[in-house]
Amino acid sequence: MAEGKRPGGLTALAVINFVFSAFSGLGFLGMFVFLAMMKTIETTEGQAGEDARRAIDETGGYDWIIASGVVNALMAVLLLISGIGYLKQKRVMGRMIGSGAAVINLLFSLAFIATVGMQFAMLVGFVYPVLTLILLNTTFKDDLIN
Amino acid sequence: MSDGTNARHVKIVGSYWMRFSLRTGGGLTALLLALVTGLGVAQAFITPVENLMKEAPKLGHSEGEAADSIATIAESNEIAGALKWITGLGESEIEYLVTDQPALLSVIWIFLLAFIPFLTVLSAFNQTAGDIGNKGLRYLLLRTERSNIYLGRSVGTLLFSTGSLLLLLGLVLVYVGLKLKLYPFGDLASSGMHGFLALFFLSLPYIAMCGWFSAMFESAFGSLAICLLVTGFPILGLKMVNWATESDLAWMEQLTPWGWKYDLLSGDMGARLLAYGVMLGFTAVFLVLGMRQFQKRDL
Repeated sequence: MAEGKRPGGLTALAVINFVFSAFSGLGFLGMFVFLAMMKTIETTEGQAGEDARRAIDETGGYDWIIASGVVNALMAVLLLISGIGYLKQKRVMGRMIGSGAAVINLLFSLAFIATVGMQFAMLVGFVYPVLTLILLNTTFKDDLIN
Repeated sequence: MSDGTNARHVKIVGSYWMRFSLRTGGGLTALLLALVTGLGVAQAFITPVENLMKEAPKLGHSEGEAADSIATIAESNEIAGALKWITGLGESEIEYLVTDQPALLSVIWIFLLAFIPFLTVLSAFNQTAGDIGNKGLRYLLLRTERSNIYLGRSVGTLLFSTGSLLLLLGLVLVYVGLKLKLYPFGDLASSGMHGFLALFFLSLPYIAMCGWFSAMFESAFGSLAICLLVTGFPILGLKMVNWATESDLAWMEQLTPWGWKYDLLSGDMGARLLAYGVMLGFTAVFLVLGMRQFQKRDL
């Protein structure tokens, strides 16, 4: 594909990457809010405290909150870099880092499912990384060559 | 054909356009929106069922008992009343959808039917408008006739839209079949086919209508705006007039494909075939109008 002739789909992927990068950044900040809330929950007595602790355990507990915060921070950076890579049609910054981000996202989701079980809502989260992985390595493969 | 229409050329233009759709920003966004919206609609109904089944063992019930409870809730008068209010279908039709067919899937198809016209517009609005605007089609005209370009792009858009639909329905059916295990395979396959045909036939007139408007405008955005307006405004207008005047003008919806959408899920084969026929009729009219527009316009 001719250099400089960026397909509209690649531009759309870059814009979506920037949006998801911002969401991931917010997710990372959300981890601190969760951790602050957990301190309160740990000291809350009675049925309300028990219910809150059970709900947290069912969604993976303290370790998973930390892990998802770290993955969110990583994803925010990788999505931002790969988004710029798509716009500049870069092979490493775009295709490699974009594919890497999608694989990390998928692996983390699979690990989470293996721990807490599958929920239909999680299926929506698979759509973007799977599509990115397919598109970067088929449809846009020859556009990311710089 | 006398106007130079050639099936081979239509096939080549169609298959190229289907693959090219993914390379365009509009196509990719349409695919993502179709999947996210469709899965979101399904999630709204699957998640409560899933939670009920998850909580059942903690309350001392088996998964089988939970499935029976879900079936009882689905067949309740409250659900039937709500569906009757939403769809305007008769009692026997609602009974068919919630008792003879898997209720969970029927509800998902009913809600998806309301979204499909708008999602179809998003994948079909730019069949020719963008290329008319940038004068790109004149290079294609050296190689083939206008009719082949127009029909080819309509076919390509249909294939792209059908592919997105199959992917969405496949995900929902596999999940409900393998994870929830609420219904036997035969029921899932029958409901899946039923839902797919309804959604597929409903998308046809909207693809043809978008093709017509796309041939009218030189700007993709203009085509998108008009297509969305023409799809949504008459329905919204009729509902508002109905509500404000307390009159029953619902029959007027049947002057558009929207008014026939729930008949596509009917248990009565005659009504269903009539609805399929009406969709094909609307499609043929829009296709002829679009083709005439495209044949005579300046490219």
